[in-house]
This record gives sequence, structure tokens and C-alpha cells, in this order.
Amino acid sequence: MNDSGGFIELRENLMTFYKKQEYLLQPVFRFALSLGLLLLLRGHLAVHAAAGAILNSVLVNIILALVCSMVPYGAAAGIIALVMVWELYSLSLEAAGICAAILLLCILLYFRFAPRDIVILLLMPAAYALNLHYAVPVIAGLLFGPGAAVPVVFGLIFTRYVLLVEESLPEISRASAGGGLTGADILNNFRGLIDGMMGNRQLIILAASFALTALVVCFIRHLIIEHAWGTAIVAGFVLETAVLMAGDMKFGIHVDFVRLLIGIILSFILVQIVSFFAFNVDYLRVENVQFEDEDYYYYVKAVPKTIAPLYGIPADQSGMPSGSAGSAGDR
Amino acid sequence: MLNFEKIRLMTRLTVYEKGLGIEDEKIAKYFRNDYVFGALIGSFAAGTVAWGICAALYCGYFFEQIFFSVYENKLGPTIRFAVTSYAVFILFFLLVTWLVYRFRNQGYMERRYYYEQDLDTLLGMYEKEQEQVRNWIRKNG
Repeated sequence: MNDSGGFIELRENLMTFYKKQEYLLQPVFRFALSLGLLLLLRGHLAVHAAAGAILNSVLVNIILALVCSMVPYGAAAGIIALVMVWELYSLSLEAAGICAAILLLCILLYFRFAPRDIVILLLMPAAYALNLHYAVPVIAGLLFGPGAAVPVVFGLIFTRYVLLVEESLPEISRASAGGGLTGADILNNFRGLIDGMMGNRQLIILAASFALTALVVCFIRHLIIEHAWGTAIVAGFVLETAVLMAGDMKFGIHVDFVRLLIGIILSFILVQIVSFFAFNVDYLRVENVQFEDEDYYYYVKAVPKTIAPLYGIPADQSGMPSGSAGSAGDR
Repeated sequence: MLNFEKIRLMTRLTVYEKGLGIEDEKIAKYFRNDYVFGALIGSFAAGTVAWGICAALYCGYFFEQIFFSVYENKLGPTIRFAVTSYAVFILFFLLVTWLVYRFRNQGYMERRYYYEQDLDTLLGMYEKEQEQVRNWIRKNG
């Protein structure tokens, strides 16, 4: 109990620090995320481009990340998307065209309804690089609505598309063709990329697993049961693992189980950290109270927050009189 | 002396005004039907462009089959498929848009109702306090 009180006090201190410095910490986070994504793009695409590729310059990466830190998430995503399309265009026209098409479909079909969910789209590639992508649908289900399954899937599609383009560069790049691409070559490259995405069973199973996980986690989280968050998190990871293993047995998608296990464990730890800060009610001390006024009977379920004890005195032993503000008998 | 009921009421009002109230202000500018109709027009345009992008990708992928259809003057099935797919897609997309924006408008109406109720209650509390002050002055002045 003393240890949990220590953690809770630490969380309260961190939350207070965050609230005071929010105006500074938010841009720093956006800068770090944007720089990470640009460096990932550099590592996968720009290194294969000609010497003049814009992302090869670290200074340009930092300037772009600084710009992204000063604008909302939607504009930052737009900047990174434009950079991605530009880098792909310098490598392969077909790859840039397909990427631009997918981006436009994202924006036209989903993000005009829920522009705030775009942060999930930005988090997925960074999480994928760190083998933490299994955490993204669970976090999306906990903190966003059921529609969060869409940006989770789109983020995964963009991530795997960049990897596919990198693998296919020897066949599709302008440099390897010596600048002599014919119409038939362009069509073949185009079909190859589409087949690489549509025919990738591992991608389809992973996307289905993530979408289902986000929906199930969101559903369980909203249930009025004790330990709803904990149950949602465990159910989410179990479902992810089960779908991937079922996909491996049924369709032979060759899941790397060691990498999967490590990813699930790390993702679970990350989700626990996120839920520790995002979740601040204590369902173990629920109070059911009843009172009335002229118009209604009130049946109130009071769920106390886990507030750190004042001056080391636990909240339920603070000695406050029962008729004071905040107690169950107060009307 | 603190009036806890007034404090709770004012807290609820402030939380709404600083949170959802900012988004609800955008919805409040329109009548319900105008709000939904505007969204449907936007979705019609967006859906048409999205269908066009998918059609372009489809044509690129099946370029040779479509080219031979044109060459052999057998475009009928292709055109029928295109029109049918467009109609089905746009109707589905408009239905989703209608549901989303109706739901949003309904949520705004409910929040606005309770917000105005709380404002009326708060006004009643202020008037009661002023009445008490006037009575005290009358009694002691």
C-alpha cells in the first residue's frame, strides 16, 4: 500500500509538472515525434536516393521537425506526408502516385470526420520501428473512440508500404532503369506495388488484428464494470496474439514468434505506463449513495479518484468531518 | 460562507464551456437540417473524388483489359460496373455522413439543453441571494 501511495504521489507530481509546463512539453513531444519519423524516412528512402535528396541533410530534418513542432498535429502530418511523397517521387513515380492516392483516401474518407485521430497515424511508424506497434491499437482503444481503428490500420498500411517500396527499389527505381522506363515498365511496377500490398497476407491479418483489438478494447473500456481498463488491456493483447497465431496456422504468414513475444511484452509495459497516467479513478472504493429533491430521486455511484494523501495522511483517514464538502452525505 | 451547490454548478458550466462548448459553438451557428445538409454536400464532393482515385487505381491495374474493351467496343459491362459501384459507394458514404452529423447535432442539442438549464438554476441562485441581501437591508436599515 505504501509502494502504491509512492507511485500515485509520483504520478501526481508528474501530472502537476506537466500541467504547468504543458505549453513547452507539447511542442517538444511534437518535435521529437516529427524528427523520429523524418529520420525513419531518411533511413528507409533517402539513403537510396541521389546525393541531393533533401532528407539526407540532418539540418533540413531538424528544420522540418521544428516547423512541425509549431503547428497542429494535422499540419505536421501534412508536412511529413508531403516529404514522403517527394522522396518517393525522386525514387519512383509509381510509388509516389500510389502513396499520394492512399493519403488522399485517408483524408477524404476519414480524417474530415475526426481530424484529431491523426496523431495515431503518426505514432504507428515510430512504434513499428521500436517493435512497440502492438501497443498502438490498445492505446487507441483506451484513449480514443471506436473509429480509432481506422487510423491504426492506415498507419500500419503506410509503414508497410514504405518497407515494400524499399524492398522493391532494385526493380522499380528510375536509377536502376537508367532513366529508360517505358509505359509497360511503369504499369508492371504499378501492378507489382499494388500486388505487394493487396497480396500481403501478413499485412492483411495484422491490420484485421489491430482493427479488431482497437474496437474490442474501446468496447470493454466503456463498460460499467470494475477493472474495466485492466480487462480491456488484457483482452486487447490476448486478442492480438490469438488472431496473429490463428493467421499463422491458417494462412502460413510466418510470424516471428520471438519478435512477437518481445513486442507484446514491451507493448504491455508501455500500455501500463500510459494507463497509469491516463486513468485516475479507483474502482475498489466505489460508493453508492441515494438522495432526493423535489423532482428526482438520485442514485449516485461515486467513484473516488486516487488522490495522493495530503501531508502523508491517507485520504480516508484524514479526519475530515462527515458533513464536509466532497463526502457522500453532502447534497 | 461557501455555497457548495453553486460551486458544483459553476464547475459543471465551466468544464462544458472550456471543453465541448467550443466545438458546440460551431454547430450552434446552423439549424440542424442546414448543418447536416452542408456536411452531406461536402461528403458528396469528397466521396466523388475518393471514388475517382479508386477508379484511377483500378484502371491502372487492369489497363490492358480496359484497353481491349475499348478497342473491341465492349465497354458496356465496364461502364455499368463503374456507375453501379459509384452509386453504391456514394450512397453508403452519404448515409454514414448523415448518421455521424445527426448524432453530433443530437449530442449538441442535449448538452445545450442541460447547459441552459444549469444557467437558469444559477440565475435563480443569484436572484435568491440578492433577495436575501435586500431583505437584510430592509430589516436592518
